[in-house]
Amino acid sequence: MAPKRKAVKLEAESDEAFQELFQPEYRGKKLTDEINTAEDKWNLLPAFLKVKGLVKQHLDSFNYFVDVDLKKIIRANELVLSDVDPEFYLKYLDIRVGHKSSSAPGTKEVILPPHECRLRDLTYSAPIYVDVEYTRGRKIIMHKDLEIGRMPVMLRSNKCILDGINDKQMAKFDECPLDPGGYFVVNGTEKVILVQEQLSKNRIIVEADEKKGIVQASVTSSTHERKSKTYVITKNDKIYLKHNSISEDIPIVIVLKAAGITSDLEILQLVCGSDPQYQDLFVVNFEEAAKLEVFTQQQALNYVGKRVKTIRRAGAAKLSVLQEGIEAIATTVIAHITVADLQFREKALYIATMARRVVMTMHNPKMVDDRDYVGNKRLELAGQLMSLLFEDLFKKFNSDFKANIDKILKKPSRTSEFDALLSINIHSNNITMGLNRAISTGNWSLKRFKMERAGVTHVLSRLSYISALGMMTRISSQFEKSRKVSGPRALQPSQFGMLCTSDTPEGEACGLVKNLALMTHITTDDEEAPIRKLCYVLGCENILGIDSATLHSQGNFGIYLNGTLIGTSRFPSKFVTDFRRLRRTGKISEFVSIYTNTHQTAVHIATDGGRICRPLIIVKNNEPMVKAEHLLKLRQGEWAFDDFLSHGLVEYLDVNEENDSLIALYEKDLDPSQPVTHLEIEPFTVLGAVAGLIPYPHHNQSPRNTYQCAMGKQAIGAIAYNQFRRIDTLLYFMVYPQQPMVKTKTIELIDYDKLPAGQNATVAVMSYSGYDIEDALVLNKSSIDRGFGRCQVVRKNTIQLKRYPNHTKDIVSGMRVDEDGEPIFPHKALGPDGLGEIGARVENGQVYANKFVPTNAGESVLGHNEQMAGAESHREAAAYYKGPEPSYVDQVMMSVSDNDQALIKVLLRQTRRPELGDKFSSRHGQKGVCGIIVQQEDLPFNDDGISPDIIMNPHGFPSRMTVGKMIELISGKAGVLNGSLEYGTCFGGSKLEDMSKILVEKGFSYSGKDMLYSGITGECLQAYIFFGPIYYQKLKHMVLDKMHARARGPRAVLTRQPTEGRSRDGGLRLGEMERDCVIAYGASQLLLERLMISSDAFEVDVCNKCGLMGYNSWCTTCKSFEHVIKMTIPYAAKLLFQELLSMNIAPRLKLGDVF
Amino acid sequence: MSATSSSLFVQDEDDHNMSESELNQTSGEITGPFDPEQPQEPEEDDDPIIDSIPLVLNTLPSSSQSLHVLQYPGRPGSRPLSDGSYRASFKQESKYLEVKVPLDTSKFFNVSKTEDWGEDIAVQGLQGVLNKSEGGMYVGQIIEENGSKKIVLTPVDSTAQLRTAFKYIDDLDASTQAQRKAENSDSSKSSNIQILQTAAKSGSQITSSEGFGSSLGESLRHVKKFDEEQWSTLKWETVTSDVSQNLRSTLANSADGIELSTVTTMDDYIVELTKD
Repeated sequence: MAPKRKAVKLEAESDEAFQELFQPEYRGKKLTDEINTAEDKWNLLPAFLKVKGLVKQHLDSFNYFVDVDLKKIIRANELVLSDVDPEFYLKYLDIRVGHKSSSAPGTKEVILPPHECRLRDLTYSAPIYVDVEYTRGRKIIMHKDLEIGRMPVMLRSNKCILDGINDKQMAKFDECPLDPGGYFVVNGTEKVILVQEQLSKNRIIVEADEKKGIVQASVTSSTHERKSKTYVITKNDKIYLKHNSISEDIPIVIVLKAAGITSDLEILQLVCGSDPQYQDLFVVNFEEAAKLEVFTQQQALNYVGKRVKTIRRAGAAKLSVLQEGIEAIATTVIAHITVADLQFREKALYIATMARRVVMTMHNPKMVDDRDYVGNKRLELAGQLMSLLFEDLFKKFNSDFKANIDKILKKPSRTSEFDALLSINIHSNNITMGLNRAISTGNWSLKRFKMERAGVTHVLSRLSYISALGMMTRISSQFEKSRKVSGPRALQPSQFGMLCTSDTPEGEACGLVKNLALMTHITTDDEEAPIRKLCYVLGCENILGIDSATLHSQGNFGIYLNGTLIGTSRFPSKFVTDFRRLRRTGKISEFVSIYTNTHQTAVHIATDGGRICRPLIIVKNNEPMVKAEHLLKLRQGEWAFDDFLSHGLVEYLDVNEENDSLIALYEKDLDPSQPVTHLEIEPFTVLGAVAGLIPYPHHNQSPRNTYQCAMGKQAIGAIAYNQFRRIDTLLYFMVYPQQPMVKTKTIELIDYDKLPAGQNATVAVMSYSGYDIEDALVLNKSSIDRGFGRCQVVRKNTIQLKRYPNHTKDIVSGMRVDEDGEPIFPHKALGPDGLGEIGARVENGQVYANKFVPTNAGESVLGHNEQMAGAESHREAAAYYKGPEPSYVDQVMMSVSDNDQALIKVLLRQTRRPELGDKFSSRHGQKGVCGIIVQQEDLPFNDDGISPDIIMNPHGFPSRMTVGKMIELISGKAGVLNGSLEYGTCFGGSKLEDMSKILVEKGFSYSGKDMLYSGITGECLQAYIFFGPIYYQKLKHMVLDKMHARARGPRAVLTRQPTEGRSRDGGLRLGEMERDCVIAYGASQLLLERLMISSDAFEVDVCNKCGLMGYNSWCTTCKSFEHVIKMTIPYAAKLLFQELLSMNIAPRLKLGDVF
Repeated sequence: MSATSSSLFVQDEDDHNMSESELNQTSGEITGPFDPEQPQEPEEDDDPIIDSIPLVLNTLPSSSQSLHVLQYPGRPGSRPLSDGSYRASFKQESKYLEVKVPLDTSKFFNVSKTEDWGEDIAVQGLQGVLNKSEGGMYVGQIIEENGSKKIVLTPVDSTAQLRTAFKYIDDLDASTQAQRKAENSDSSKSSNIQILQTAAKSGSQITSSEGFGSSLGESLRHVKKFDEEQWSTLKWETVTSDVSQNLRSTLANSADGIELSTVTTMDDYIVELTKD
């Protein structure tokens, strides 16, 4: 901002001073301004977001799933064979979603535009087409475009009609152009598949318990077929291999022998190299194998085979012990390395590597891995989860289909030739329903892994634009929330720039739910084979040609591709630089990462999906590669972000590679004495989208920013450009939202300024009236009259008109009128069609949809005859409005849902002014409720006659230390006076000095304090008051939705005590602790009143002789009236006695005199 | 390797027990792009250029022949295998090679042990899987002729690491097990079990027993195939034999002496490499 302001000053004298106001400004900079690389490199960020978008990870992952992964699944399950007819086969050739093989390129075959699906409670989906080849009799038939089900389509993915269309076309589809997409519409509700965080698959993780002296290396193998975990553990300083399907731990030497390394020397060399200390630690393991007399591979395989837990499916042949052993080593243990032929070498080396890591950790306990390190985490996205689900459903589909054709083929004589496709369509509903059900309930049940996961999907929060956006970037961890562990919740240094440092909820999910930072990308799976080939060419020696003696020799680095050792190199740094050069030139995917780990003497290459990475500027010879000319090209639109990548100026680094790099924060940090490899694009990208709303967050105490992240999602504001076309269960709109005076670059990038959630309030920081204690706010009544904090609440009411089996159906009928021809009170809001009229006021007890249900709906179809049809009778089942305040009918929609039943949605609207108790908050985690609403005349005013919209108590500052809020006020005030919007971007923004200068120029105090006059006495106040605009958010918690009182009301049937909860008009509970207080105070009569008289008092007849209860002064046990006494006890107590009696326990009451 | 090739040559310099480190060096340096002058980073001095030598590419004289590198891990280069009568046999389908080497019983050999094992161990069986080298692997010879040096490269079809197989122990195990089984069956004979009815094999079982069923894992199917396959014997030529000497000299000299120079540019080459 600084150079621009100078320019303003210079031009001030000339006539063109006004011109500046009309000049189009681009993100705070004019097109003609000079380019300064150090300051303007942040322009890469909007360029990045233009290409990637904020929810690109979801879209990328879904696109990968429908375009690539589906085809892989089809290929892995391509054949359906019959047990009965060996001739029969059906082969899947290809699969497509949303378009036929014949359809023109770019066709997107979806049922309806997404907004219509939302309104009509449908699923936004596209057909899944497969090409099949199968036998019919003697012929082989190819069938194209066979529909096997419908796939829910992610909005804005490449199968969605919204992909790649402009704003105008978006408007035609009733969609908001700012809506990020990345969610599904299933049965009319918007569902997000949250990003799941997991420990990385197929990588070795070494952990140690130093107290118990246990070291364990574990690897979770994950393939399409199976998921299993293999451990290499120490037990009494000896090393064993542990696996779930092997009944006991196998000594490591035996495992290695079973995998074909029979020579003890070779085992020693593979595990320990030539290090004598490692050798000393490992050598005990040989004894055990020798004691067990296992010398050869066959003996070892027999040993393993004997201990395999066999779970064989019916019909499978029984295997010999040796075969079991081979099967265990080849496929069960470390399942992700497949042994296809007789070559066990790779697997043997993998096990040896695990053992080596264990030995290294035994020697030096610091060699353990950190589970919580972000580099050891992988994010599972919508596409991966969908692919797991689809494969499961597809397998089920195929097995159902197979069972079906087997049944038909078994019949020896058939009249017609058997056509398999006739029976395939029966099952197509399974895939559609399976996908729909999983997404709408969030229960991911995968039969083949025996896995059940609940809560995978969530309803997209549409409280405000930012809450929807915040939900799309959310990451949930698989960790149990209830466990009290600090490790997984702690802030990891490695999450810098990858995960937002501020945005996490408080309470039980604290640190487990995270958010992505602004400039991140999540990788999708990349092909391994070409990378492997490339490694060999770059001088990596194939592992199959390397002997044990040289493998761990000095200076030899192992090269690991996705955790598997594929070779070695003696020139790791050259290898790595060569590899990086290829990546920078775009020859291999920019998301493949490579880094050197000197502790493990290893070079790790990762191509797998789910790694978080972010772009950084490459620095060569202490010069950033991105120069002014490049930025100029970017500004002039010649270059996009990808050009920076392909020209090798910017590259993506994942967490592991980032840790192998030296990254300078600012250009000024580039210092020849400390060579760096990369330069940050913009430091404020450590924060995510939600934390990016906070102005000057770097001046705030850190938890305050976290609080704001939670509250920003509750703020009422604009939701989307199509907000008035939406019919959601509950929506809040702010009537006059404003963009903040002090914005941040993030705000502009995520378009929060176009869909804001808050208003710029003029705040006076002072004490007033005493109704401002405990963070309460004083509101100006005139401001409220002018529309401050005003919001609308719209609520959806759904009415279904059902059809019954006996051809009767629900109807809506018109209003009823009284003798004057006027509609009766409950029907005042209705129109002639029996539905609420748009704009009509609906009060408590009035009807907004006059539904009638048939009285004979339950009657059987059989007894139905023609005459009765005419005399169909209905009974009223109207929808009544309930609520303390009246509403207005906003929209009425009538449509037909999936099952041909009429669907009516009535949207009711309330407009609410702020009132006492409504909750407000600034953007600094400072929330408060409205304590008093004061007439403007009584409020203090300044020299210009301005009185505040809000008075905030100064006690809110000292303990909260939200200095950012003060700076926001000063910047905002300067902006108001200057006619500009100021910036409060993290680690930057408008400088306080400059702001103070403007204030002074405009005749105000540099400190932002003004002299105010009392509105009551007219005298000037004793102190200068900190006075200026602060952006305030109205939060969704409003008194109207919460206020509740009850004198009399409904009671629960069983206990006869008052019901619970506001929605049931329940009572206010006097709980255990309150009871204790009353007891301690000795207020026995109050206790009696609260716990019995006002609750469930009940008169019982107690027989003083037998102590049991009777009735009507009659004791049923003693058969007499003699000793029966009437008394009042709680009904719950009477119930207890009776329940005890039913269990053959007789509680007998013994009554005594009180006085 | 073609089926007609009857001899398997061990390619090396002086002896056929090429030590591991040597072999790795040769393959390591030569495996790589055809362009010997890969752009070198000036700052990386750990791998400097000492000499430039012209490259000559050669192929085997007959297309039915193939060249393989045999490695003997577990045997240091300083202790080469003794010359003697070697026997090699091969399973074509499973790509499995076995070499029988006479056992050196003069040193480190416990004669009394053989009595336990009950048989005379005269040969040592070395076995290994042939790993196809998917291009890019060459055997190189540095030949110095009248002061000018050249490197002759010959593409290698596959490599194999040969390890000792302790078949005699397994055989011993098998025989004791068979004996035990026989004993067991003897004792079980006394118990009077009569099988009244045996269920006929169902259709699905028949198909699976034919070896094409899905009940066996891929690895087990390979093992089965391996067990069923017959060994085909190969002729072993010693290093000093005329055949090997001839072949060696043809390999070294038969090439027309055309020096290799790259036509492919680095960029084309990289594109070639990185495409799927």
